[in-house]
Amino acid sequence: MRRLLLARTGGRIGVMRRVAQPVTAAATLLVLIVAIANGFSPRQELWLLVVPLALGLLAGPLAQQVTGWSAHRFAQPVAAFAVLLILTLWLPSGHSPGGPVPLWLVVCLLGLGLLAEPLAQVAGGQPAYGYAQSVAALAAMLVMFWILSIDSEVIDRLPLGSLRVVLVLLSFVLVTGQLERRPAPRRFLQLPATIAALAYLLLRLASPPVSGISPEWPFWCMAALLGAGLLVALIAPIVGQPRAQVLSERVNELSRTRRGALDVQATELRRIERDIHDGAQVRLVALSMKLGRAEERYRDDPETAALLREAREDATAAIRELRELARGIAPPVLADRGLEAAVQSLAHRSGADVTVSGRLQRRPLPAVETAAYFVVAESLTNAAKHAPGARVEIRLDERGGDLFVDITDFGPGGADPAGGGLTGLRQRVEALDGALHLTSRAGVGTQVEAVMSCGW
Amino acid sequence: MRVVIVEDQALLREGIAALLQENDIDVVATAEDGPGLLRIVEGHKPDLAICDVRLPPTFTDEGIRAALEVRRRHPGLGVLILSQYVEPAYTAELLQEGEGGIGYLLKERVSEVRTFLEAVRQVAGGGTALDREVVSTLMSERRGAAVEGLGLLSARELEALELIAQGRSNSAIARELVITPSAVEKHISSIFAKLDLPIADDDHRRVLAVLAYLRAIGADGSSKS
Repeated sequence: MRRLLLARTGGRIGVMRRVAQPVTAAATLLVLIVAIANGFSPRQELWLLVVPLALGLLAGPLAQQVTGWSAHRFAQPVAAFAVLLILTLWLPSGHSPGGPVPLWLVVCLLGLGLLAEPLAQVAGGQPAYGYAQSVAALAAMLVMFWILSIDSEVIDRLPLGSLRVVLVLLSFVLVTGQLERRPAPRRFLQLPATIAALAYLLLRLASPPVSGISPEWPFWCMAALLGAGLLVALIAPIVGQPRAQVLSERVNELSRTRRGALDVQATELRRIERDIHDGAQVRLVALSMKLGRAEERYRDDPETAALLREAREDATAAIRELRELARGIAPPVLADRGLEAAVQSLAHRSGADVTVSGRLQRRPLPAVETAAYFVVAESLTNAAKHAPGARVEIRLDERGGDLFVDITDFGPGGADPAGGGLTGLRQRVEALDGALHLTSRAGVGTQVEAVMSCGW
Repeated sequence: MRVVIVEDQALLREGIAALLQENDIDVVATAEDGPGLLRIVEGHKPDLAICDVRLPPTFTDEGIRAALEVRRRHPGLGVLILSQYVEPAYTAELLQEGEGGIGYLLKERVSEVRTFLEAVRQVAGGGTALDREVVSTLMSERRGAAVEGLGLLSARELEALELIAQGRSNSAIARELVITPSAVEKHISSIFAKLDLPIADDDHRRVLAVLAYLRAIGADGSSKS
C-alpha cells in the first residue's frame, strides 16, 4: 500500500514536469508568433535569442520522452547561457539604453553558476547543483529586470510587451526549473507564473499601458512569487513529504513490521514448544508409564518383559528427542522465567567458571530474548571448546531501551569472526536491527558483544 | 505411605496414581494447580507430595513456587517434583528451602517402576532423589577438573555418591556398580569419613553427603552468580 502510494506520487510529479515544460515552451513560441503577427519584424538578434531558448526548453522534455534521460538538466543551463550571450551581444551594439550593461557582473555570475555545477558534482556534493543553477538563473533574471526596467525610445518602439513576456517567462522557467527536485514549489510557481505572464501579454497587446499601474509590476510579482517559492521550498520538507522523508518513514515501517514478524515467529515457536510439551510428550510419557507397569506385571515372563522394556526404552528415547527439539526451539526456562534465569541456567550447565551480572527491569520481546539467549549459549559453547577451563563473564544490561549482552572469556583468544556459529548469531541479531561484535586477541581472551533494541 | 499428586494432565495424573496404588502406596488426594497443592497437603497431611512444574494458570514455574511454599509451611513434608524437563536452577531453589526430602525427576522416569518407587520412598523418608540428567550434566562437565571438597573421594566413591544423589538405595547402588552390598556400605562410610560428616543416623548422613556433593558441583546455587 505504502509502496503503491510512493510510486503514484513519483508518477504524478513526473507527469507534471513533463507537461509543465512543453506548455511553457509552447507559450513562449505563441508569444513570438503573436508578436510577429502584430507587425514586429524580428531582428537577427531576436531570432538568436528565441531559437536556442525554444530549443533548450523543448529539448529537455523531448529527450526525456525519447530516451528517459533527464536532458533538461543540461538543456536549461544551455538555454540560460544562450539568452545571456545574446543579451550581452545585443545590448552593446547600439541598443544599449541608459548606460553600459554591467557585463562583468553577468559573466561572473553566469560563469560561477555554470562552473559551480560540474565542480560540485566532481566534489560529490549533489545539492550544490541546485544552488549553482539558481545562481545562474538569478544572474539571468537580474539582467532581464534591468532591461525591463528601462524606459527608452528604442525599446518602446519594439513590441516590448511581447519581448518582456518572453523574458518574464524565460526567467520563470529558469528559476522554477531549479526547484524541480522539490516538486511542490515547482507546482506552486510555474503555473501562476505562466498565468501572470500571459495576462501581462494580453494586457499589453490589447491596449496602451494602463495608467495607474506601475510598469514594474511584473518585477514585484516575480519578486513576490520568488520569495513565496523560496519560502515554500524551505517549508515543504517540513510540512510536505519529500521523497527522503517518505523513504525514511517507509524504512521505519519496514523495520517495525520485520520486527513484528520476528516476534510473531518467536511467539509461534514458543507455542509449538508448549504444544509439544502438552501434547505429544504427555502421550509418550503416559505410554511409557503404562509400558513400565506392564513390564512389572510380566516379570515372570522374561521374554515379554524384555519386549516391553525395549518398547518403554523406545518411548523414552522419543521423549528425549522431543525434549531436545523443544529446547532447541525455545528453552523452557526462557519462556517460563525470562532471559536472566535462562542465562543463569546456561551458566550452571556450562561447567566452566561463569559469573553472570546485570539486571533487566523488564522482559524484552520474545524474539529479542530468544536471540540473546542463543548468543550466550553459542558463546559459552565456543568458550568451552576453545578456552576450556577459562573464566567467563556474562553481563546483561538494559540502557535506553536497548539490550546489551556481553560474554567475555579469559582464554587464549584468536577466534575467527567469520566462524560458522558466529555468522548464524550475527544474522539472528542483525535481523532484529541489532549488532554483534567479536573481539578476540591472542593471549587476552574473546569478547562477544551484542546489542539490540528490547522492542518495547 | 500417603501421597498426594498435583498434575494438570489427567492422563499422567491417573497413570502415576494407578502405578503407585499397584505398589501399595496410598494416593490420598490429587489436584491440578499450585493452590490445590497447598490445600490437599493441609487437608490430608501426606508423607509425600508429587508435583508437576508447569501448572495452571501461568503454565510456567507454578509448581516450583507452590512446592517451595508448601515446604515452608510443612517442613517435614517430602516433595518430589516431576517435570518434562530438568532445570538446574530449580534444583538449587528446592535444595535451599526446608528440611524434608526433596526429589526432582523427569516424568519418564516413572516408567522405570522400581527406580521410581525407590526414589518415592527415599524422598518420603527425608532423602534426596535427583534426576540422573541433572546429576550427569553437572558432573560430566566437572569430571576431570578438581572438584573442590570432593577431591579426596576415589572415582568409585564419586560414582556411589552420584547414585546416592539420585535417590538410590544401597542394593540399587550395588546392582548399578556391580559390586556387593557390603562393598557399597564400605564405600559409603568412607565417603562420610572423607566428607567429615558427623555421626548420626545413616539417612541424615546420606542427605548431608548429597548436599556436600551438590555444593561441590555448584548445583545448590552457592558457588554461582
